[in-house]
Amino acid sequence: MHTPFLMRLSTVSLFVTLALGGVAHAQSAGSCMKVGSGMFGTITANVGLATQDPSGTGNITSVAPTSVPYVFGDAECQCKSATVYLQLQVLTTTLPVGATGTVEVWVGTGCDNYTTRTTSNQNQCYRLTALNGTTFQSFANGANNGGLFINIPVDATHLFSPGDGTCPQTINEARGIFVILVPSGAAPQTDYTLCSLNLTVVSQGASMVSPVTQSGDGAITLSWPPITSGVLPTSFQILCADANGDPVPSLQAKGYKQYYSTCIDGTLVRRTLPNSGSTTGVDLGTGSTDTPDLSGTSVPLTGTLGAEAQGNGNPDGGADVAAFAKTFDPRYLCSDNILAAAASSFSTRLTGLTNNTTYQFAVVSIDQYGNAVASDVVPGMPQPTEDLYHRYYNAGGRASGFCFVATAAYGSYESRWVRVLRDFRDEWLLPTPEGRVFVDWYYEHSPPAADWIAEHDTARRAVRVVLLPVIAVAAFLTYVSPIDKTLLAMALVAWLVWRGRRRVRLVGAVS
Amino acid sequence: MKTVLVSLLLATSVVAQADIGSGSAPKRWENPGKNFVSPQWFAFELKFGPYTPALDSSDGLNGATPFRDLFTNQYAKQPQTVSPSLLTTLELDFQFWHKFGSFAVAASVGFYRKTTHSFQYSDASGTAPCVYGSCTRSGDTTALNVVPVALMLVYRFDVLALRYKVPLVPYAKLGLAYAAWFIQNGAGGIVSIPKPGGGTYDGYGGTFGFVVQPGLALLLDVIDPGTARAMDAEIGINHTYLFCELNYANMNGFGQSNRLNLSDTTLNAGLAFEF
Repeated sequence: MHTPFLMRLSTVSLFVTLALGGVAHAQSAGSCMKVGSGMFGTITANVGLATQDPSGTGNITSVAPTSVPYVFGDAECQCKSATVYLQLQVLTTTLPVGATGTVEVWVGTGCDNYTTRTTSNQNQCYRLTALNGTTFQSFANGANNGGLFINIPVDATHLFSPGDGTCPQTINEARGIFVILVPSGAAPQTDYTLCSLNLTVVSQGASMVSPVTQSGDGAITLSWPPITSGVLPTSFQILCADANGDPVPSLQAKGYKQYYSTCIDGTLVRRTLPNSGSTTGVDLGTGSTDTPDLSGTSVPLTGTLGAEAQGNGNPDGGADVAAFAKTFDPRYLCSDNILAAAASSFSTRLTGLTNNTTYQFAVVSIDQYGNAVASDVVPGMPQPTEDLYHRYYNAGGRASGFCFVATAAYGSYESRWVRVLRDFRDEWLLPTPEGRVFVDWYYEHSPPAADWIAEHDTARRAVRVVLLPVIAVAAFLTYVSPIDKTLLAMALVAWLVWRGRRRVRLVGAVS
Repeated sequence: MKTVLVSLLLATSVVAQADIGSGSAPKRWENPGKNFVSPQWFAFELKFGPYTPALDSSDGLNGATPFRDLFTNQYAKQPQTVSPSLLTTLELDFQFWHKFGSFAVAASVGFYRKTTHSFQYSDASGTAPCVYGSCTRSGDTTALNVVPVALMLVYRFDVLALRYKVPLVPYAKLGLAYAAWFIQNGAGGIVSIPKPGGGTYDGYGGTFGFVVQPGLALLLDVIDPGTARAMDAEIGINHTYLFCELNYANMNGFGQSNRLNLSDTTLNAGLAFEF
């Protein structure tokens, strides 16, 4: 069989470098170069990763834009749900149109060497494609040129850990991906052409925070400093448990919006953070946790966070995060999403707790890829507090309540001025809890003061004067509709402008 | 509603006519006459000043100092006084008399807020207040909020400024005041304490008093008379002042019992506009 092409080198290796972490954010920039005595003519190549098979059939006609990152988090790694599509485009001046062959994709180190990739263990060189490779057929690429597009689904976990597919234990490791073309009938080659593709990992999860607790009255204030270096979190969430590490039902009522990816019982739950401050997560995958399945036995919080809390405390994005993400139980969520906008510090007051009872808390830092890093578990015990009014009261002070005594001042409950205040009470105060508290207090406490004012003519006159602006404001708020308020403001502005200009014209006419 | 609409239409119409009437003629308000003065009826003031209410002098405390306890550092070597916080005040004057100086009635409203961390009780049941000097701060905060309002008579001796170009205007204000206050706990709510015989003591209330505010204003028009005239012509602002005043606020309810004492003597400074 005359195949000039096969008489020449027929192996192309693409070297892909990955720095790995809890999450990979890959942006590729491909280039090719001839290595050794490569037998291709001029080669151009392009490699990309895609989140989905573009056509759904495995066929592609172009490589995914290399500027579009593909992101997968640690939870996806844990759940073995991180399939990526490795897309390869090779154009040569010597590959004949219609040439066929197989493609082998290897991951590891030194896999361009035939002996290495065929004799070493899988942890050094792991074959991502089927044993017999994936067939290809080159297509026309202008006059006398050939080329090919290849789209290969790859388990991303093997990009992390070739062979065993486990999630990475450390960050910033390098891996190579080798795509080897073997034209039909050709023997495995040792002479090859190397293309390099650099993929840059951006994130491995935000750092762990060190929260502190302060006791409050039926509450705990949890505060922590911001993370200003390394991978920045986009938000925080708080986990709560009782002294035994069990969920606290009274705190669960705040909802179960989780904003990070988790792998629970083999089911991947992927969430991404919302844009522009919204607190609504976007479901990226299966298993929405808006209404989590709360059946079954919860995992104690101390156990949940044991790897993080009891371990070295180093949020290295590896085992600690993995252990946390694997065993996470949404029943511990006791805060909504706390956006990690620039702030000098963060502070959240958790209420609904019982005084003199020990609770446990942890703060979860969440990066933009949904990776969660939990803090150490910190205890807290709510205690009764003495605020200013209590301390004033405990010292003997008894001041309490306003002194609205309009009826006494104006002499009659049916006075038009009193009616304004009554209407204000009904329309503005009574509809609100604070207003009702005030009104209740007023009717309980005002009679003695009103009696005193009613008996002193001077006091009545003084109170009338003082109440005038109050009545004016009450009337404005009560009787003037929002539209009228707006129109009045516009009319006032118009009048002021008109008045100013009119005066000038008058003065100008005189002068 | 109809009245408002008609007023708005009339005002808009008048303004439009004024514009039409001016046509392409020079806009005289861009170059008002040297002696131009628009009518003057009002004054508006925005002022700021440090404020520390004399809460610890309130009736019933018998020497106890709850305000100082909470708002100072109990571990300081020297006895501490409560540092003042900002009192921001708006005032609107109606100037009804312009002869030798001006008289006005003024209404003002201010706002003051000071926060700190509460104390933890010495016992778990919350009945034993801690002893100052050995208190533990709580994670909860507490806040004192005061909203003082006043109705005053104002006299401004602006004769020197307006007739003799001495840009200083001494003035004095005297009036009745009422300071509404409320105290918040860590949840942001108003504190309520049950009374032994039923009912509650609630952490809000009000205190009557009086204020005296002598001050001195610097007429800013002298800095740029042209701009001052333009402001008068265009938007009717006659004069602009920078002022400083003593604020003597006797706010103890005229000796009434069970009133929070919110008195203080302090300085205010701010900007004033007459129009």
